[in-house]
Amino acid sequence: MQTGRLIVAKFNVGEKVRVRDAHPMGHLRTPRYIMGKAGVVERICGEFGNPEDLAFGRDGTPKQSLYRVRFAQRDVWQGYDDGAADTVDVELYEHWLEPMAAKHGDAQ
Amino acid sequence: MQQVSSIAVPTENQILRAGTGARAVELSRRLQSGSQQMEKGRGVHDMGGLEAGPIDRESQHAFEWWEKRVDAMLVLLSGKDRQLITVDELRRGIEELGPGAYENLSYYERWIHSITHALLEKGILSSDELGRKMAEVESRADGAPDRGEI
Amino acid sequence: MSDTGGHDAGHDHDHSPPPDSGEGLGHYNVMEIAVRELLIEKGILEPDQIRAAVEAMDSRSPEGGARVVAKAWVDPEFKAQLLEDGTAACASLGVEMGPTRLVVVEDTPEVHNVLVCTLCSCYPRMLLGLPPDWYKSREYRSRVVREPRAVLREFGTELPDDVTVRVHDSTADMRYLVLPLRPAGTEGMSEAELAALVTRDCMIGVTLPGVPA
Repeated sequence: MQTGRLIVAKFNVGEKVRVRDAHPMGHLRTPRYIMGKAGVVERICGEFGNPEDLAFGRDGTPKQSLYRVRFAQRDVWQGYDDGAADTVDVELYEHWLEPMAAKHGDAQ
Repeated sequence: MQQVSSIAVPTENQILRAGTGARAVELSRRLQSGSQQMEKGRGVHDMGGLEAGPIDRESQHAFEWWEKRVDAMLVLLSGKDRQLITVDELRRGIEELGPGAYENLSYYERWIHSITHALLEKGILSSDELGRKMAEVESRADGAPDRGEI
Repeated sequence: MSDTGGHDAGHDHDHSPPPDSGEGLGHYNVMEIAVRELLIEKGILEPDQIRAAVEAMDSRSPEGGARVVAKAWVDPEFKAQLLEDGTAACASLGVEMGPTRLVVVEDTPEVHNVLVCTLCSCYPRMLLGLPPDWYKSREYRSRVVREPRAVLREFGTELPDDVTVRVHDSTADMRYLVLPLRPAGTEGMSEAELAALVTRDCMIGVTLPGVPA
């Protein structure tokens, strides 16, 4: 949420998040392969205009937080049998992320 | 002074349009992949994780003069001083091309297509003046190659 | 041979014209000329600015990135700054990132990094120049996120099993650069000598830096 010009990042570094799964038309910067996957916020990159709106000539406001989210490859790909600790880092806009309710048995 | 290489490096268009069987199969496969993506509501450009063949590490086309100028135009048009087009609009225009054009057009062909489309959408250029100017360019060139003038 | 073409040679400012395709002007070549001339006529662009932008692009090569890497290898303070704020560190060397922000990812004995833009072709152009064709290809963009080690193997790079591979997909405004591990046997080498070991491909992460002979 924001008050005036102040943008408060919704998620913190280290927080577990899940990527929404949605397939609308338009200019998306959330790759299909990461939709529905859960990862951990590696860093908050700052505030940026929304590329989905910028792509259609609008000004992309309100700006929102952009996050670098780290995913375990074995959580992303079925049958990933390379390094068990391998990761993929993806930059994702806040409106594509949901909090992961902490449940016992959650991976990592 | 840089010596002109005696090895003819193909342009990206030449690589793309090469009539060899292997290349045709390759393009056909990519086209199929792009179409399947669209059926699932997935952009043709959104290819992370899809099946694909070996990476061609060797082919590196020689940038043509016009390609460099396209790149320069995008940098200038999207820069702080003008802000006439955004890179987001450029990307969106390319994504909207669909699998046929996406795979068959070269990288900078897609760029100039998208830039021109955006300029038309915004009314910075009209189709009429574009068409007249293109015809003039063609008749002026009269088959001669682009020598990199600006 | 992973680093082909003029972009990785010692002097890669290739001002020689590309080969004459012999086909006259292609449709999109004509379009570019027409659009450019119209924009100039309308006062939106000036020829000098376009020339300068082309020259600026031509002047950038992987040597820029190699200098940054070599400095980070010899200067711990610079390295710390580079990892903390890549944009500022490069600005201090006269390299401006423009509207993007640079994140430098460090290879360690335990971690190997590799870069991709699966959605298009985002690339640290200010440091490395224009990306190679393979980086923009469907094959690379599709496969490196899913099977990075197999892709690295195609580039002749074999990593030990106990090394973690991190793939970085630049989907937004960050641009990445891999800071490779400094090779063994390079003690006492000058910054320039070290920079000569750093290729474009090892700053993308598909190869490792050269070992001195």
